[in-house]
Amino acid sequence: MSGVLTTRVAGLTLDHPVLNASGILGSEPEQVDILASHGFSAIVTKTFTLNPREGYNPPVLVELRSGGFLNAIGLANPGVEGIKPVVERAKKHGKPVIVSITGNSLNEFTKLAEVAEESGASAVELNLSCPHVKGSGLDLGSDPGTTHSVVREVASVLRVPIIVKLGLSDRLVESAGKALEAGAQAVTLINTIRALAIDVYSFKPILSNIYGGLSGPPIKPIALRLVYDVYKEYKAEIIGCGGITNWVDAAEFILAGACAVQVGSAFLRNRRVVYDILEGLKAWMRELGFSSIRELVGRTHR
Amino acid sequence: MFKPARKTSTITLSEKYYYAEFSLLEDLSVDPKPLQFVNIWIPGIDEVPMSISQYIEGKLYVLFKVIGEGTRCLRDINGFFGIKGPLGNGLDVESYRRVLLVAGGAGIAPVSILSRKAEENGVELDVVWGVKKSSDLFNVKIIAPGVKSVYYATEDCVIGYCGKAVDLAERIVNSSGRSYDLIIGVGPRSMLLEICRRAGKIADVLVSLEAIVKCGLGACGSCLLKPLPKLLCVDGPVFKCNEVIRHLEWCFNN
Repeated sequence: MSGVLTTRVAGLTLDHPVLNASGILGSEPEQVDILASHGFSAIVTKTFTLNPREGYNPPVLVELRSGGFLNAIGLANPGVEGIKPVVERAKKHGKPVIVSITGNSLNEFTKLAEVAEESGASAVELNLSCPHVKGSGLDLGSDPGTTHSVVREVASVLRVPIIVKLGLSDRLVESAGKALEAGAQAVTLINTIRALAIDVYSFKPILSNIYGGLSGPPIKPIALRLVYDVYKEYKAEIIGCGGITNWVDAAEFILAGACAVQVGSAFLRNRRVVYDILEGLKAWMRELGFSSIRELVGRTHR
Repeated sequence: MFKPARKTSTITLSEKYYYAEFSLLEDLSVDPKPLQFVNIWIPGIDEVPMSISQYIEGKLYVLFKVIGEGTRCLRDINGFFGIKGPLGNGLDVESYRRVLLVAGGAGIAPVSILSRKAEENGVELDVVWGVKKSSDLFNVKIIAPGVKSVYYATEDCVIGYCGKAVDLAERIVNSSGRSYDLIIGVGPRSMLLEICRRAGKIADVLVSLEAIVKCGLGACGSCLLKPLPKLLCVDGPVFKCNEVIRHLEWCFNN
């Protein structure tokens, strides 16, 4: 039985289109329990690296007066060993689990991807866009050529679907095209945007890492534009991400071309956000007379 | 968001404990409850979670000991700091009549706001405070004039009861005419575990936990209370014993 909100992305069938964004919890089994109990249709893990990372010193996250959040957690994670327990816990909840990974070399990417697959991951999300860790992340995804090599290398060792998460860059549309060409089934658009906040009384940057990733409502129109552009260019499968706070935001992303969305910042302010979005989407579809959310994906382009 | 605050003074309460006063340039978004906490940002140095000792008319007070560079700055520098919070869930003291706070070490911090809220609501508050060395002690009524009785326990046996706060609290609870409808434990995990084991059945018992709090907003997961699916900063820091006993036992065994 498929419901009105049932959607498909990267070969996964999801009860509804709202996933958590990577980076919100998701590095320990108990954190997966928390995500699962708040209604997300699939669990996206915290980004795993081959070796454990402590992350940066606080402040690692600050709410801004604009309504956004600025974070530089620093990819804190228990390393490759942490993947299996997290995947197994998500499976216990009966949820598809998308393992997010990043690396400093092709070898690290393939090693992590293989462990994710062996652990039972439903899909792998390549984080090619962390805006605040040197040598990995955005340095990779902003270059279409590098994006192509990483995805092709991972695709050569994996059977489970590959999703590529990209961030804001001048060549994002091109990178998305290269990722798809190299074997990615879907792209997640977009990661946080490299940004800065300064305290005007002490004159110091607020985050210990100085730079962080901007998330939340301020980046939503930018993310929406990129989803729109990539869908227009490739009719690709897209997971929309960036400042989605309510059902109208989610609906906009779906109309722009996203078949699912990820929610991060809004979950910090409203632990019921998934249910609120789903109720709103259902009422919207009733009002318009649609019986499947899939009919609305990319509708603005018609 | 960090609310800007100017630290205006630090009082030395004892050999170990300090009491700092901050003047906030903007009020906190909501009036804090007892046992809620703030993260204090020491610009360029660190961000540290601190239980709210008191908050009155735009002035915030915290009680602390010096354990690193951040808390040293908190003691020595009168400059600008940032205040994130109030964070976590606090305690509504007005639904009780007689309350006993069992504090271990720096667990005495929330006594000021707790005694003020108790007094405002006609609630009687007694305090048991245990420390390792008697030189750590100060007169609790200096920072919490509304407290009815204070009982001290020291492990060096120089002042008050010779032994631990939990043992003194048990004696007081068992002595005639003392019926508390709420016992609150604030202090090291070993103390909280003991309180839950001994008192969990005789009264409402709440414990206020500590953990490594980094973001304070439920994102980073550093304050996960293993093996439970709970975060201290979102779900705590105050819990009923039965909600967190497995965490306390897990910490004890690991």
